[in-house]
Amino acid sequence: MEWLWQRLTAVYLGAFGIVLVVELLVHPVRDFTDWQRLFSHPLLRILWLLAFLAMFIHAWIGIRSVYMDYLHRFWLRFLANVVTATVLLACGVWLLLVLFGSGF
Amino acid sequence: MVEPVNRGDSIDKTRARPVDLSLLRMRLPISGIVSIVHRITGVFLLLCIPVLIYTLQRSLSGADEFHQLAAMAASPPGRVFTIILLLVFMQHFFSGIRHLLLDLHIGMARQQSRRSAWATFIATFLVALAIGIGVLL
Repeated sequence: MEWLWQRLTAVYLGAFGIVLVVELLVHPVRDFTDWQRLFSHPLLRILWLLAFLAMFIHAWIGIRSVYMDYLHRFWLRFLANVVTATVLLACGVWLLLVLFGSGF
Repeated sequence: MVEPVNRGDSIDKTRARPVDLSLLRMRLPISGIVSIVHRITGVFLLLCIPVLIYTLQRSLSGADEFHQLAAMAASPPGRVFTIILLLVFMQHFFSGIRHLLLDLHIGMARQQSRRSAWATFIATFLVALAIGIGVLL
């Protein structure tokens, strides 16, 4: 399944990246208001959140494969996975708070 | 562990073959280089995530912060960092597309594989240049 999720998230992120670049070419960000609007537009918000979710899933599967390939001792690999997973989860929560938390 | 290989000829294949996996002595074909660069760019991008989230947080906190960050990005070191980030991201993106095509068994033959490998590097530089000029100016 992780093989499939890696590809699915990759396709979504790639498509989203292209959409983003086109959007920035058509509506360049000139000031703070433009920048805010990029993240508060209702449809874009959904796409952004899906993109962040896809990014964390994609990054997690990727780095897990790297650990599996290079860390051969069980406890070292286990530690690396747990620490990385925790950091990624924390980053995800942080991102949510940045976008939707008041006073963040 | 290395398995003994039986290729049907008269050479004794029951003993394990010698294995030399020294990364420093191996000469990778271009496809191999794309593959490891894809992995390295991936790890680099992962490490950038906290930095990018922090930058996003600062940029959305107020108009003054936003303009400060915009000025930093436009400064010489800021431009250098942005270009590097763009290059890394684009390389990961194009070698990612190559990977997806290979998953669909497109471009598996050796010549095609070598050409698509070179194409990822060329595309990276061209697109990063175009985006850099278009977005940063």
